[in-house]
Amino acid sequence: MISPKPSSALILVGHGSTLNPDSSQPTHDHADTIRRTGLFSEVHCAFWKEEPSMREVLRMVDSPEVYIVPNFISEGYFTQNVIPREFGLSGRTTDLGHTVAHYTDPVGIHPSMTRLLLKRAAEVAEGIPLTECSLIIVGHGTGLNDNSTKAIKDQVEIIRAMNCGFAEVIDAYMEEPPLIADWATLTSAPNVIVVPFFIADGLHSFQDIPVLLGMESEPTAAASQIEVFRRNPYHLHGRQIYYSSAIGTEPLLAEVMLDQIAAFDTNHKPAA
Amino acid sequence: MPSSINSALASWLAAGGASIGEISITPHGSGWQLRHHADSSADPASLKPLDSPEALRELAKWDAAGNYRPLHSAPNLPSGWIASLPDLASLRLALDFLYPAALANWLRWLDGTASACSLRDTFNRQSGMYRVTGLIRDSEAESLVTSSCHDGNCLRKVLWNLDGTTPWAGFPPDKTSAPSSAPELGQPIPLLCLDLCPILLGAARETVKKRMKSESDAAKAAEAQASPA
Repeated sequence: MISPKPSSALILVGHGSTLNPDSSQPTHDHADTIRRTGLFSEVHCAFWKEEPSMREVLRMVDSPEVYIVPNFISEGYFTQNVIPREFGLSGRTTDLGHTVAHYTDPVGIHPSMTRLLLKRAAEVAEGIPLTECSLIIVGHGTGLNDNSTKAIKDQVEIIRAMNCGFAEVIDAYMEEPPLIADWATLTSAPNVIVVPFFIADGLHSFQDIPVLLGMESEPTAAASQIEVFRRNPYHLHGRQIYYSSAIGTEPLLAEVMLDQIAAFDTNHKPAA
Repeated sequence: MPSSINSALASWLAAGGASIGEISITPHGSGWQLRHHADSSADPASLKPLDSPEALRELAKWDAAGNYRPLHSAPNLPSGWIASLPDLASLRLALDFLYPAALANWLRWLDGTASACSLRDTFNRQSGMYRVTGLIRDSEAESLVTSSCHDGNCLRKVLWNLDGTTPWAGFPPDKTSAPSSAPELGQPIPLLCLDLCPILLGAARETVKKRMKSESDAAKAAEAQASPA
């Protein structure tokens, strides 16, 4: 846990959506959690596709220092191009005139994500012996940016090295091999736990991937607009699929955000 | 909390400030009550009670028909509720949720530390899938902005123009200007648009792509006609 920062504001930056009502909810939820701790003088959210925008949220900051934490799952186009451009950042720390901004790594690449993944996997398939479970961590994947899969590949390596007992631990993606649609051939255990490495139960993790897995024949309504979230397990190809909600909806992610700020202070914060 | 925004909000309230967007604010004990303008004369007992900024954030996410409401300044905030907030900090948070950045945009615009960014400057800095918005024609921009941002769709004042100098011909003057009265005068807080929104950015992309496809189709048709198989 970090010590209180009474002169520092915090901005959590999410992607947001003009179409999906669930995209920004986890970012707001984690902001609520951190706001209640009283660790920061102010806590705000900003979004690429919702209000307030990144340019607007800076006007909301009254504190002489602000930490900007990308609520993104990996390094990539948004964390390396869009967010720095919209905030006017020139590096890890930027003097913006009315406040000094510290730009942390995205939440999804912090090592603490491992315990969240294991917690989600244990919860979704409670009571099933791990030796009878394959664990798939599923991401978007895109040929455009190698970094988009790196965070997931790193987590798979870490969990394999921990020898926690899973029959196997693999990564899979929506748009590049190994494809999540091939889950039945990629895995061998009778139970398959699928944890979406996404920030929100938005279009991809709640609507697209269940179709690719065969759990749904066509995309359902948004998560907030249907009564039952999931009816695990799903019986497909003689196996059981346990599908969890997106890793970014895990309440403990707020702690990972604070861990990311602590890591910034240790590794990058300029001497006072 | 070191907050010039909170102290300006306190000054505005002390001067009798009571209106922002579709919301009216009234003192209530040591705190504040919020309700929709449409409910100003309603019996409070007939309204759904809300008691936190987070409850107001959830309320503002949907219109009366249950549709997602990504634009908070759209004139379709549901009515039929009354919110009681215990102190200035929770009122500030509630206003930030109901009308994101509205207080900050207004105060920073009043003190001259924030200015509007023209449509051309916004589109020309885009990358990725939105880079194409830089190709929008002046006439397309005029038509898109005046048909998208009018008061029937959005209550914000459009303070940015085409290129830093060219105003929008299709808006009445009060849509592109804002009163400059200080918080201490307690006048309604205007909703200011200093940077065009993602909804307009997306619509501009569609406008340009549609025109480019139409040009491409026409060129292919002309080519086919010139050299018949």
